[in-house]
Amino acid sequence: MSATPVKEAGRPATAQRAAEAPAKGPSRGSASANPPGHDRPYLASEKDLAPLGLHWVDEAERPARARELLDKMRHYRRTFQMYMDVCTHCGACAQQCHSYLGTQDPKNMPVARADLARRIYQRYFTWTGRHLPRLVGAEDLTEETIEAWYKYFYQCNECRRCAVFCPFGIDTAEITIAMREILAYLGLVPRFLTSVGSNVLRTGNNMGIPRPALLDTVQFLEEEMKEETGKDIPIPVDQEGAEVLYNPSSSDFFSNPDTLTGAAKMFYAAGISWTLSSEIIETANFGLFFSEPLLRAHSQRLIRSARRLRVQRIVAGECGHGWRTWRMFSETIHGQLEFPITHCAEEACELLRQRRIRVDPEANPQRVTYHDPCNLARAGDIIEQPREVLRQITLDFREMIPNREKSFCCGGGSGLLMDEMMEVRMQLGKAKADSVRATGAEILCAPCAICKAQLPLVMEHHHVPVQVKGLLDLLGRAIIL
Amino acid sequence: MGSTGVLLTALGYAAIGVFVLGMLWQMGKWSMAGLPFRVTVFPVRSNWAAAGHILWEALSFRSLWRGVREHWAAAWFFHFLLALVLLGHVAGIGLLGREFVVFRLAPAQSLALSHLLGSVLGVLLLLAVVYLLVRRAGQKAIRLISSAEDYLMLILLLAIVGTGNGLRFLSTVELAAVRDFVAGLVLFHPVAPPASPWFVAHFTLVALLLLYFPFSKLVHTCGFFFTRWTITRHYPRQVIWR
Repeated sequence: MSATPVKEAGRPATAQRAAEAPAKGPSRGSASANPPGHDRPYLASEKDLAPLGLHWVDEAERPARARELLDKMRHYRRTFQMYMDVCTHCGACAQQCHSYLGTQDPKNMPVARADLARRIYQRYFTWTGRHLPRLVGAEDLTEETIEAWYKYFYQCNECRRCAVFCPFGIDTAEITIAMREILAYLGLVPRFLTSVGSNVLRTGNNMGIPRPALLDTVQFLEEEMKEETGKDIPIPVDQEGAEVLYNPSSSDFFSNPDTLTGAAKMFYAAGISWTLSSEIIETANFGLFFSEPLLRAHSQRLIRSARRLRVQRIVAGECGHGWRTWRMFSETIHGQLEFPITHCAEEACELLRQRRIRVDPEANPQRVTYHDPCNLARAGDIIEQPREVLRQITLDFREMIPNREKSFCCGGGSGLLMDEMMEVRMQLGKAKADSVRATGAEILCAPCAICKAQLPLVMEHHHVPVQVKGLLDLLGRAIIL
Repeated sequence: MGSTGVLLTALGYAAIGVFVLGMLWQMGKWSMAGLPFRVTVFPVRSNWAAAGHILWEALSFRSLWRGVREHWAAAWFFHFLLALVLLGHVAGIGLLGREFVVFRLAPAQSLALSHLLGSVLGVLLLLAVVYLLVRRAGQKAIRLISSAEDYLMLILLLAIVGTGNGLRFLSTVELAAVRDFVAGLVLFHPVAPPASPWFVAHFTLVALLLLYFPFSKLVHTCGFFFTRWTITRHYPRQVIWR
């Protein structure tokens, strides 16, 4: 119930690989199914890395290769270099990081996490680190440090909350992203991420759903909606010339179908022609978590698909990292696009303002509170729109504290949904559980696929009796067709 | 000019040179590194709003205010007092204590006020630095993340403020002598420094700080603007809804 400190595993990487269990794909399994005390994700094998163009670097060569990569990274990403230089070790970030608060591991303080990289950076790339290393705590790079990198940069959710409270605005997420990229080029990637990455390259979605399965599921959901509403509400697939290409999270087809049917009802009620693309039913971008080439490839796939279908705009579904990719990375990858990309919460908000859809808040009588996904609020600029929608579709809406850009991460961000990390994940979610408990809400609205996978487990673990729903789920209940 | 004077003059030029060139080099290094992606932390409404945020953050340390208040107090009071003391050096020493004549005070009154402020602020600043040092060593989480440099910087500052206070309370050095020496440096017409061990110590310590400045975490003085701008800059997106 209360957070227990995470113990250092301390085993070298080779021993860990030898001890691993058979491969498991992405799953939202129960909290009790995993061995306790596992503090880092299972490593991908050479075979797992191959489809992503990555490979093992021999342990003996890793420190030298890592130094080269650090050198490249500090020139490639100004943020990485500045954040290494400007931190004054004031410690303001520590009390604001859900990872440190939940695990109580001092290395999970954002400043300490950054120091794992900073000590090495200073040793090789700064005057003080080269000539007076002991003064600044600079160290030579060893295999132990690389293993500590793997452990701690996969205990950061890249949520950016530290950036809000750091006097300099140092965004530790940028450091984590850079370091995970370096680890990837050393061949150190969680198996969960390479598995999802391979699925994405093969099928255009995280879960590996092929077209026939997609069409089956779509048909099933259309039948469900007909039973529920008596209306023929379509979920079009590959319809050329539609106004909107709707790009959901692939989990909408299995775990969160209410989100997808909510979107279908919304477009139907507003008379907007829309379509899915069987080529890519995934807004989530797992490339963001460890591989910039994958990030770009997946983003380009979506734009190609939108152009092929000749749509007028793309509407992103309820997925945090997917939206973050659009808001933060898209302009660099694609330049100015000939069509806009909006978020489904913005669509809903605008349709309500224009009275193109009508809702009955009596359909959601329970107390509802709203979780700001990190990637919608801090990284995505979608803060007030979901609230405007919620106030119209619910009877009892309550804000949690903290909220908006100060909201705590759910603990599953940046792909930390592995079963083997369950104990750590539950610790990461503690701060959010406390916020929700204080509201007394029955429904927790969380418009992000990772939050929807993580929060039910977190709430159950911390004994907070609440149901997790998406924004479109609640809209789907309230909408008048 | 005696040998002390020559050494002090040389040290002064070296310190200012290394400080200015070092900081320019550091800022140049940052500017030359790539910024491939937009890393704004939202919400931000416009670039004017962003500039306002940054200015307000620099003046009020708003981000610390939102966190632990004791931390805000420790950081803000230290920086505020430091700013006032530095201002006092320029206005008070530069104008030989007559900076308040502008507020309709007689020269003697202005000098007395300037003396009083300098004394009070000098003592308060010393206390502020002591507090920072005590909290760094005393608070467990901060102690864990501190390197030797973190302590060294504070001890150096303590010595600088201490010798500054020594100059004010324990020496007979005249403001005019100090002003003449500094003006001599700046105008490339060096003169002899005041013959006071307090002054030699104070000046040397400041020079050491300036020499080390561009290679230490003190670059945060300029770095603040770079990092803040990077996460606050607004950039538009194509939207069809307003």
